[in-house]
Amino acid sequence: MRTFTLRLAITLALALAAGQALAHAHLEKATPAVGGTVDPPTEIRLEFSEGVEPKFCKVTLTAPGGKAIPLGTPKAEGTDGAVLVTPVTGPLAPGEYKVHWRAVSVDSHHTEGSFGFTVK
Amino acid sequence: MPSPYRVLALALLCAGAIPPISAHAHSICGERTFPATLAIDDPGVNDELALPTLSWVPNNGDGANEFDASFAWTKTITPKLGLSISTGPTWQHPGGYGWAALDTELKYNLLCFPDAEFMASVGFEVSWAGTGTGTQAGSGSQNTYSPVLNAGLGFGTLPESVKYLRPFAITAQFDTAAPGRSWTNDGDPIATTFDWGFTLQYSLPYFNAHVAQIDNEFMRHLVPIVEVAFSTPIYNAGPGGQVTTGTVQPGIIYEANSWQVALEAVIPINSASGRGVGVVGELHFFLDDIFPNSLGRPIFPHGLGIAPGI
Repeated sequence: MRTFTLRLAITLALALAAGQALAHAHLEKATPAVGGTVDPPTEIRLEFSEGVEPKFCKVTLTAPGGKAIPLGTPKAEGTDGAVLVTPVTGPLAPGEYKVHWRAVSVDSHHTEGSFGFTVK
Repeated sequence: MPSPYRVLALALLCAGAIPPISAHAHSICGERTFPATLAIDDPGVNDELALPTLSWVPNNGDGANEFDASFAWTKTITPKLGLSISTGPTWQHPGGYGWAALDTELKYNLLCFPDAEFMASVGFEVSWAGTGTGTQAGSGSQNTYSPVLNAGLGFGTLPESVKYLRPFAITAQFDTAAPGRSWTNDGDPIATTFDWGFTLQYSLPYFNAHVAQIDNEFMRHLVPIVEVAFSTPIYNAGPGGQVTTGTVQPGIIYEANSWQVALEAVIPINSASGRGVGVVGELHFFLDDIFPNSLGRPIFPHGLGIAPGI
């Protein structure tokens, strides 16, 4: 048991210390900000905890009446591909909007989330 | 006292746990992440390792000062079916040293309703006879069998008018622990107990991603939590043995990318449960995130075609 515990601890410590861990992509920060009030945005910028695969990610934007707003194709930015940028192709009228996103991290874990923001 | 091997192992883990990257974890259903909890199990099935779980209570109800160290490892067999093992040493004063019986649990993730942030699992746990030693040897003559139900519900479906309540979630566990025999060799009764517990948690990671942005990097990884766990004898308790025991455990969880650390106070609910406030802490690794293509992957990643997820 002692040898097992030690070997397991060494393995985990090395894996973590080397930064090898891949994981679920969770939303760290968004622009427009989660729950924020902003000028009409030209893009939706989602910063994740992990790199994402843009071709397997999906972002939707819903207007106050429930109407879907057309968006451009998501692209990954940043050195680790952890920032997903989706262009907003048309002007947004004042009101409350809802973003829903589905992300697939580079190790194929799926996550999803949603948040609102207000255009002033 | 812990052996030098275990001290070294713990030091290595702590050194390696310095976060190289940030984020969260774990049992995920829809937009809800249920963290691993200490007093009861979380409602998901994952590849994970709790190492170590350390607890100390000044008076354990039998009048002894008690320190426990344990680990629990869960391995997924298929995406929704996992097998866990757990055990560990105990030091009591007065009393001495013992190694707790080996527990195993086969657990199946029965339900996940993503839109409702609800998930449930069922399991069957066996505490194996003859695997405990010293003060934890017990009678050593019978296994204990426990059918288990775990469930979790996020509050994310609450209306916009109460959006600040959406980060709340509750989880629950119900099980019965039934011994293989009703009597020890000395003729003492061995009770069957109904074990039940709940957690109420407020996820700041959820708040940050769904309600309003939290600028402080440390704060957005925290999950304040209160856990309660009770055990009620329901059969063969013997004279004076019908008292429900349990603890209330307020604390906090820090969710990182591939691990979490939790620290909780342990408050006994009555004198039969102990006296004084203890403490429990746990370092928990998400092996599916650390080793997504090997140790953290189900043995049969596409299932066996027996049932959904199996």
